[in-house]
Amino acid sequence: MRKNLTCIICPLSCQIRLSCVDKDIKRIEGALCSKGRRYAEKELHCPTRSLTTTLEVIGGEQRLVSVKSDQELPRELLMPVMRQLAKLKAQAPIKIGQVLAADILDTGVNIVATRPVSKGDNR
Amino acid sequence: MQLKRELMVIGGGPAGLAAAVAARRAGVRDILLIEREDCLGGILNQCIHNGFGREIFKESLTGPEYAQIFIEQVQLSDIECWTGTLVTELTAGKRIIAANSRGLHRICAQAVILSMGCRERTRAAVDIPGTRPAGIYTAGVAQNFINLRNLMPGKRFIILGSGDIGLIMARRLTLEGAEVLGVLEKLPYPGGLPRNITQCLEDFNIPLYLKHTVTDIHGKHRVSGVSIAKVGPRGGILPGTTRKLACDTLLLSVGLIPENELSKAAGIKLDRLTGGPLVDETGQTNIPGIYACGNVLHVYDIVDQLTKEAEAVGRAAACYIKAGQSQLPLLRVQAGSGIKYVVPQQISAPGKRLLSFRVDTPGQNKYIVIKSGRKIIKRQIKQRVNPPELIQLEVNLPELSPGNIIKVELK
Ligand code: SF4
Repeated sequence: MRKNLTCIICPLSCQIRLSCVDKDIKRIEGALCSKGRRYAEKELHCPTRSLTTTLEVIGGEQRLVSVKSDQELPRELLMPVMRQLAKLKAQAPIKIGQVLAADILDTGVNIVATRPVSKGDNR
Repeated sequence: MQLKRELMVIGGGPAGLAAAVAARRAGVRDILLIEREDCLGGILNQCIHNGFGREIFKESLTGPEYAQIFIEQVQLSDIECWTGTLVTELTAGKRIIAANSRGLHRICAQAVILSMGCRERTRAAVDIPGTRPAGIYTAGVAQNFINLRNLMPGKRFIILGSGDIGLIMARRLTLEGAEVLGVLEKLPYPGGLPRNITQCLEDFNIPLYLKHTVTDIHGKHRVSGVSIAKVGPRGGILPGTTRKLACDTLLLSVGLIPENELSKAAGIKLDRLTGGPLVDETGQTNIPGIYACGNVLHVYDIVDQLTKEAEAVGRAAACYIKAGQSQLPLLRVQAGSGIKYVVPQQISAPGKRLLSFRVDTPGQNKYIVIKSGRKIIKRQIKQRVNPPELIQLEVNLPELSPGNIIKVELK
């Protein structure tokens, strides 16, 4: 089977051409570095993505705090995790890197703050 | 009362932060950084997605994380920052008027760095016929609403323009539970990076309509739908291809232009190709001592490149302050066939010089040819060229013959 992928690891966005049998890569072309191959393997077996979003803040200088998953999540869990996060709020003050939701949906992945938020009145 | 500073930096986004820190490290004691918003960091604060910092930090950071690194450096270097302050006027004599809650301030400086960033084009919105109901936003405004203000601008979206911000917003809106009916692109190829087509559109089954545009906006008080149609090879609408889509919001992501209202009023000459000031390799504009860096100069696609170049501009401004003067441009650099623009547009001193440019259409196996007068000084093959990807090449100019023109061409 032939398959074309766009590597999303870096902005070069290599166009990867694969020949595979079942899910084993027999030939790979177009990746400019070795990360491309690893990406292609993951993409065939279990595509993962990092998630970035926001959480509502209570008692902060900002209304929202930007957050990310500290590891990649299985792609099909992005929407379920979003629905779970919609139920949560974070209490200010918040430090950058602080875990705001641990082990989200039993994935072992934490949701952490990507900016500091000091105490305030949510202007 | 007039305040005096050695260096004034206008704009506290990634470019201004990096330039201010670099100038401080190069020995400038007295720096004032002015930012319009209440926090430093500029547009990065609303760019909550990741992919920043791969070149400099070798990891993929989110926009706010990237900004925070430089905000901390500014704080550690004890640089004076005025946030919530709008510069209303800049003169060729390096005087500014700035307004904030404490009143109006007149400040003069030995050198000024312009780092005001860019704004979104809205021209397409003006050109679309139909009514003007609520529900039409630029992608960046919608990004600001959702990521900073916790406001959702609509439920069913059409996005016009396939630049990176439009693609990233398509994913963001979908994650937040809205429906994105499609992203429309007038050209036969997308405006954003291929990785964003994959991770922002394909991952969420959002259709990309190439060679399509919005021909009409419907709705009285609120957008009720848009008409879309195919675009022919000459850019006209193909008859018989129009159809109506019901939506409540139209987002425009049709490009960015450097924000140069202040520069223009100060008499700074702009390049009509980039929309930013004409500069030499140090970032100096036609007014000695006034420098420009970041998106005010030309719109970058990777913040790491922007940071590195802004740091160099900060150091150049420090040299100017020490020496009290700078070299004047000797050579012009021009975009030849197949090239959209080149920065810098002028060269003042011999040495190794980095040229940044964009091609005007995608292509494969093309030669980049750089000439000095008639002589070819560099030739490089590129497997792939793509307008959204800025190309940077270093050329060695051991000596400059004044009046010569350096030309970059695509063959
Ligand atoms: S293969 Fe390597 S160079 Fe190409 S996009 Fe992926 S990470 Fe970047």
